Amino acid sequence: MQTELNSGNYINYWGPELTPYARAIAEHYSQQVPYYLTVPTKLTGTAREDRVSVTDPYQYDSLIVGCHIAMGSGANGDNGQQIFLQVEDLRTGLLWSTPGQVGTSPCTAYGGSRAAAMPILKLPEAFFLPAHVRLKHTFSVISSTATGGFLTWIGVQLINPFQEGAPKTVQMPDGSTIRVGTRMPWLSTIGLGTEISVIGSLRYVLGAGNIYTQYTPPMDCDVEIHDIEANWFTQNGSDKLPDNVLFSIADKGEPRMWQPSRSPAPAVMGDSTKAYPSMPFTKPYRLKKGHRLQITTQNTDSGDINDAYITVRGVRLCDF
Amino acid sequence: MYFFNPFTIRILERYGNWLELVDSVPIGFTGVAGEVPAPVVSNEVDSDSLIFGFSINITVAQAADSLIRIKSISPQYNWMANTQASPQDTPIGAICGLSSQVMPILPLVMPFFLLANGKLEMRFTNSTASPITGGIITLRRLKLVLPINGGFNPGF
Repeated sequence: MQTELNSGNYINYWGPELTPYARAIAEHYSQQVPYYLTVPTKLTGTAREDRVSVTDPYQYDSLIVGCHIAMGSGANGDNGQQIFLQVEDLRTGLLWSTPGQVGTSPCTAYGGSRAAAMPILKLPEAFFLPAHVRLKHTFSVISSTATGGFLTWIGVQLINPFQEGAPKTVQMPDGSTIRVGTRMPWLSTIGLGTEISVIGSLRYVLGAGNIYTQYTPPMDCDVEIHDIEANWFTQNGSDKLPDNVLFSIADKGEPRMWQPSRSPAPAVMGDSTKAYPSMPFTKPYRLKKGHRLQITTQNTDSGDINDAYITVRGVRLCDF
Repeated sequence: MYFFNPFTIRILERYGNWLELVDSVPIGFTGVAGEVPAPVVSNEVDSDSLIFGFSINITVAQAADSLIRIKSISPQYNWMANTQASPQDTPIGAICGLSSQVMPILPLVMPFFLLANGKLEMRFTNSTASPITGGIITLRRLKLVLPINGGFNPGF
């Protein structure tokens, strides 16, 4: 166990502590300076809108550690809860949110909201963005509309490498050597309940009194799962009584990983209105390549909940 | 709340003592929506220092669309990576804790090293929906005294 924790496979959430992977990269540079990159959503309030924002190349390598969102209001994308985002860098093209039915993740799964107790949400793992590599953001609205808003990546500029160029490999605390780029943020979002289409819009309905079993898409490499985020504890400022929605989690490929009972949502997942926007696991869970996470949901409330999503966040462990 | 990563420790080790320094700077908003007052600078101190976090005394509503842009003078760095023709400034809530919130100080991901008599230049844009009058930004710093072998050399 001690060896495993020493490998960096633990969750650090509060405060600005860098992960062991990020620290190992940063130690290759003599100068480290705060980094803020603000990206406009460019959303115009049109239904079923997709907008792309590509950042400009930057002169220094950087580590992206966390994210802040300043977008919308209750009636305008629900403070980012109903604004969805896909991120990729234009060097590898690897997607941060897994392709699937939803295929993107709510902005509140990426960043802390300006209107909430935790204005910055750390990524499960720092993302190393090499100099001159651009980040592509695809903002979309599925079931609502939104206008304007910004997302700010927060991290560290890495200046003056001790050796020529960026490090190719780094040493983890347990002595293992890994390639830079083999750990990157991973988000997998599923819509809760029955999938329906309303005038061409993808919607989800968590029916009153119903039980649903759903799965995250299988991945092509191992994933270290760190935490779970929900975007529906409040909707447009209205409390959706999350205690009345029960969850259990199991790994379909590992029969010993299951929950014997269903738990109220706030015990399992965080929400952007809480101090923990994404509720951490006690320690990361390694979901093996090809395995799927099974999520069972029971809505014991007397009313339906519409457009509720949960996002499982973690670290993708593969090379490109 | 604060974390001393290896880079920060490497700096601290070059000094015999570290003194708490709370540095408040009036912003000078006049209540005009969207105004961009003249940039303000942090107070000069006679020793090297490390900046650990920021606080600002405005409300959540006022912070909603207020913006900030920071660069340092000595050493010279731009903290914001935007390079567009019309750069998008950063929402204040991404950098500063709000005095009315549960976290009135937001720590920086990486404490910033400022040379003696160096300054941080901060350019603000007032909120358009809830314009601010006045406003004070506070930097939480550590003053680094008794340099050992000249103190930390940022490499330039």
